[in-house]
Amino acid sequence: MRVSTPALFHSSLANILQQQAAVAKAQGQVSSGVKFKTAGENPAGMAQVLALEQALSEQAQLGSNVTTLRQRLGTEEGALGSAGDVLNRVRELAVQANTATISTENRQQIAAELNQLKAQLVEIANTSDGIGHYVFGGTLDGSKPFTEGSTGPSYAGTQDVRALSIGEGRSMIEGDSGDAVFLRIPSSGGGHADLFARVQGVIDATLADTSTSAARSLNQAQFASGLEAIDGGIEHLSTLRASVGSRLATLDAVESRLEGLDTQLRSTLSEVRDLDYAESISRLQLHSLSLQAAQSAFAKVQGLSLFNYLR
Amino acid sequence: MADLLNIGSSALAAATKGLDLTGHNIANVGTDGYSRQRVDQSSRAGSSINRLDTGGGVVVNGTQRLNDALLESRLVRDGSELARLDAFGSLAARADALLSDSSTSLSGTLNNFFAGLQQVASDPTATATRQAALGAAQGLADRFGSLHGELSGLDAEIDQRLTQAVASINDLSGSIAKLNRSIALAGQNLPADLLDQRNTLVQQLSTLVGVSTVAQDDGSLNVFSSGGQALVLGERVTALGTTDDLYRPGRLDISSGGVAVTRQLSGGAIGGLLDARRNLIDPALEKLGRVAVSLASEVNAVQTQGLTADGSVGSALFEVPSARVFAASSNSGSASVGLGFGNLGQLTGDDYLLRNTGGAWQLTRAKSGEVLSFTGSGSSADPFVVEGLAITLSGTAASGDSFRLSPTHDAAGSLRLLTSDPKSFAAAGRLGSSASLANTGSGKVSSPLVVDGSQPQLTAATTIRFTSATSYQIGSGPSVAFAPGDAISLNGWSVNISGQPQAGDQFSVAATPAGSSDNRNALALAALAQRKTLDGGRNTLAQANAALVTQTGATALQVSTAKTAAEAVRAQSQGERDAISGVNLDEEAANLIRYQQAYQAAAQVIATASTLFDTLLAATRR
Repeated sequence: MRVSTPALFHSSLANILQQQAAVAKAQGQVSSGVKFKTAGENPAGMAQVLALEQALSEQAQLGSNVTTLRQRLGTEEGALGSAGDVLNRVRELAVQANTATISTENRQQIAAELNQLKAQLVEIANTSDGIGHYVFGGTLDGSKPFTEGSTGPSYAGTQDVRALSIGEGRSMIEGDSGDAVFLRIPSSGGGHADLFARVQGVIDATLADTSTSAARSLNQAQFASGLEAIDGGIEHLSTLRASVGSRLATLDAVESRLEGLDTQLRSTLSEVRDLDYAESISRLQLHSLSLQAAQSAFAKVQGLSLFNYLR
Repeated sequence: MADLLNIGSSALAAATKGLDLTGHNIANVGTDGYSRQRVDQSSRAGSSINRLDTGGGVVVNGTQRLNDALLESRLVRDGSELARLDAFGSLAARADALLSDSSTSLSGTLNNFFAGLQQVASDPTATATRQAALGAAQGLADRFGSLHGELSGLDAEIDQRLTQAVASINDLSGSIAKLNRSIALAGQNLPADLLDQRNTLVQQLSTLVGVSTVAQDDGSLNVFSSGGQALVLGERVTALGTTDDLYRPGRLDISSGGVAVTRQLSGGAIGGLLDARRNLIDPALEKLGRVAVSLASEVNAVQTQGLTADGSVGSALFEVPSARVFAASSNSGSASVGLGFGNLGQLTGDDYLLRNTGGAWQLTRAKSGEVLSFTGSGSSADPFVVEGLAITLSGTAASGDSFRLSPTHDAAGSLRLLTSDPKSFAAAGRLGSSASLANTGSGKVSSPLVVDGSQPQLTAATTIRFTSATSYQIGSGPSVAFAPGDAISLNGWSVNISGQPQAGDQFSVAATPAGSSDNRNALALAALAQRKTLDGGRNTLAQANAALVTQTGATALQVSTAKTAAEAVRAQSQGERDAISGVNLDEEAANLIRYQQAYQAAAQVIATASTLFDTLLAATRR
């Protein structure tokens, strides 16, 4: 084919420009570390990236929910443990007070300690998570849920508790409301009796008259039912603790699943988007070499002219 | 001898002409569209005296222009296609970068918004989390606005470039008409260089808009645009102009003789700009607007089902962008059209044309012309309902009146955050339930579910009292039979009571108290991220956005691939054209030598003739 001089020039130049574009693209990839930046470079890949990034954002949020839940359930677990300790001490003191040889003075000392324990129990019921939330306030957890009144502590919180999402369609309640933990405890004789009243029962028994044998036997019956009530309370608290514990165990499982998923999502994202440096750098070198070749070919071809020989 | 002198001088003239044309070719080696020229020469018959037929030297017939009209027209066509893809591709690449890049795209801000709502759910009373969520909501609204602004900017740029292209087309048409005149005046002896100049102008014209040409007997060339409008007829020019779009004021139509011809134009930069508008910018704005409308409507609907941090019923967080209707500027009736949103799941984002055809109304999809059927009568009580839209009519339309319905095209630009108060997030549910502490049974009441938030008595405190284990009464109402797990509904709410309540047990439903840290509604707001509401329940907001990004990207990729191919095709055509018409300097160098030698030889012929003559004179002097 007959080749015209401008055509020769343009095709040589086009080769150089093409190689330059390839070098620029490869260089851009190597310096940014990603295979593509816009959907126009890889529409299917971009669709995957968007879906993966959204999934990662959701995973991160679920992870944050797990952390929040663990912190709040942990605080509740601690409070339930302390309440159990208080009841155990109440039980010890009740047994100690319920001996025939104990002096009235000693019983009064015991009663004083029991009163303190009861106040401690109210304090536990008003446990805060340290950032202004009362653990047992339900969804009114901005103020102390239990206030001391003439008929014992009364509950101002709600029976609703918050739940947080821990997966698609799965949620977990953050804690237990104060009424369920301290008030709504089934008694052996039916109905409910709250923990504070149960401790008060033991205090009353400790301070009861034991001067006559009739009074003493009455007092023993009082202690017996008081101890039973305390045992019921201890059992109630340990059931709750077990439930909190199982929720914490679920959180561990959820967290490890989330971590696994997170790793998987990240590695998929990296596979889709991140650059294979070894491959890219060798491609960059290849294109650079091609560019050099094209440049050298241009110089050589353009140097060829019959006019060079016309002197 | 006189013959020899004549032959020599004709050879000298031919060689001179050859040298001239070789010089002309060398001079124009870099001229675009130049076709190399050759001496068209033939041998001259001599005198036939004495029956001895000696030749009469050489005669120069003229200049031969080496050119193939077919290859030229292919080059025009390929150049036109390349210019179209170039204009389309540069806009597509910018739209793609805009929608894809994390610093300008929607996806990140959308994720942040829903993450912010989750944070509110995890600590509904904390001002810090609410403030962060408010910031994320503002960021989202801003991002919708900036994306809309950038895309609209591209649209405005299209108009500017169309105006420039129209001006250039008119200039080029004028120049072609002038050349037509000169060429026609030259008569039979077509001036090669003017033909090349005219070809170059046609080529330039074709990079602006697709053209076809028809050669005339007098040498002039008639030029028509791809839409069939005459641009140049001989020496006459029909100028193109711009007018306002029939529906959208401010958007341009290209007109010829006062008639809008935009729809008929294709090819060249104008074709590319119009393709970009039709296939990329408009759809992107429409789809983006659809996400904006859906987001605002969904969030607002959930907001009203909850209570804000103040304890008041939640109000709209975003201003739902209104659907736009453009009446044709040619309408003669008094009708006006109202457009509202219905079932958002059916919303396509497309534009529609509503046309009155002598009393009846016809609805077509603007981009495809597909005729759509709809229900309703068009009154406000019974609007036309089609694809998630409700169309109402008022006034009287004249036959032929038409309206362009643009439900979501401009929506992303008018999505606004309506509050600057972090308390505005309606995180709490409106109702709470409780069981009396004195209850003896194991009955448990669920959280109340709001079924109909518009009921006036929704938040009236209600007590459910069990008259026996198998019956209850509401307030002092009649006794209702009960089995564990039964749903109890009243005043627009519904609760379930599980377990076994006993006679005398009481449950109550009441408004959520002020200061509650309940998060049920915040969870419902955050769950909108996963709700598949768009495209008939197939896509979430994020998925709809991803589809938009991917579609734009796919278009950009397709155009850039096509452009690479068109470049190769054009290079091929150019190569073929140059193979015939292009100047080769080596060839010209050789010709230079050839004609130089011919000139020298011709001069020698004349010298010889002169010597012969001298010899004869000398011989006859004695």
